[in-house]
Amino acid sequence: MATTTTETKMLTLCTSDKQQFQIEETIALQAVTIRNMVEDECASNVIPLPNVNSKIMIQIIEYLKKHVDSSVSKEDMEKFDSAFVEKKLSEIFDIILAANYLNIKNLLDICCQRVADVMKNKSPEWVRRTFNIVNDFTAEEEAKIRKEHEWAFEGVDED
Amino acid sequence: MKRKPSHSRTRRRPKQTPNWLQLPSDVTASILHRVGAIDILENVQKVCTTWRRICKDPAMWRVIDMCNLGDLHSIPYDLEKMCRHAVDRSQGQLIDINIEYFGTDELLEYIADRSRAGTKGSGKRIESSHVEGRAQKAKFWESIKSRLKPLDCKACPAAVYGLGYYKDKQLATSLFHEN
Repeated sequence: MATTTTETKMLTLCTSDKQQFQIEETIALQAVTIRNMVEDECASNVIPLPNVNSKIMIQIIEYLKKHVDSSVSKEDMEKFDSAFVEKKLSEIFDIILAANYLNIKNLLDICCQRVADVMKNKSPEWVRRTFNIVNDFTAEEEAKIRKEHEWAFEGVDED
Repeated sequence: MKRKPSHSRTRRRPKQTPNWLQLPSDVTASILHRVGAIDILENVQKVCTTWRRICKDPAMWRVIDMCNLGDLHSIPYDLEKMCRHAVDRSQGQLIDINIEYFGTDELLEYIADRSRAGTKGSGKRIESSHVEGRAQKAKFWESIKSRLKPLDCKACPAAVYGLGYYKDKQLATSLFHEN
């Protein structure tokens, strides 16, 4: 890319629900998937993002706009990040899928960390309830896992 | 583990609950790894077969963080045994381990023996539990250090210092970070 004009280059992103977002190229290129599309010149004026809806895109753009700003201190960025992930788990889930698809590593990392923090120190039952996961172990498998637990001190309740 | 009975009374019924098992497995692995080794072994791997499979993958155990903020004496399980199990799961792929606060000579040896570095090591025999005298202790640690070198073993300085082999932590730290 030889052009280094002072004029801000803009990109148009088109989400799954056919909403268009015009954003500065420098902001959008933080997403590796978009960067690759632009570099390979397979993207024309409008970049289609069929795996991201507009609701999630708005949040991702908010994140990218903050992170492109080099004047923000490390401390303020951390504050922004921790406030950013204060969302419902179902929303975090959608952002994880989008960040994974768009390949925005630090966004994916903070979302994964947020989910992990929810799980810390929680029983398997609690995790199943919260994440809506069905226990699909057979009785034999459960017994096998219990047997593996040779690190438990004797006389302590299992759960 | 405390249960709040009020939980079941909440009437919140989300229209569409995400299916967490649909996440790509590398993303799930990234989430589960962040929960920490102790929680993985105690809770996470018992949730469902998909997560259990991910938690069995040696790749999950390349970096083991046994960090626990609780009081070591109130933990109802043997952290050292648990740590050995975690090291076993790495199947020689271990590159980093944090066993701060409960590392012992025997545990460090176990880790050294099972890390790839250990298998390539010089094979010197060390009687760790009967090390007497400062010179021998230093020799013991030198040997462990040489075998653990490729590992970023955060536990070592703390263990060396904690077990009283070296008087000041800085010296203990320098021993492990000179290379």
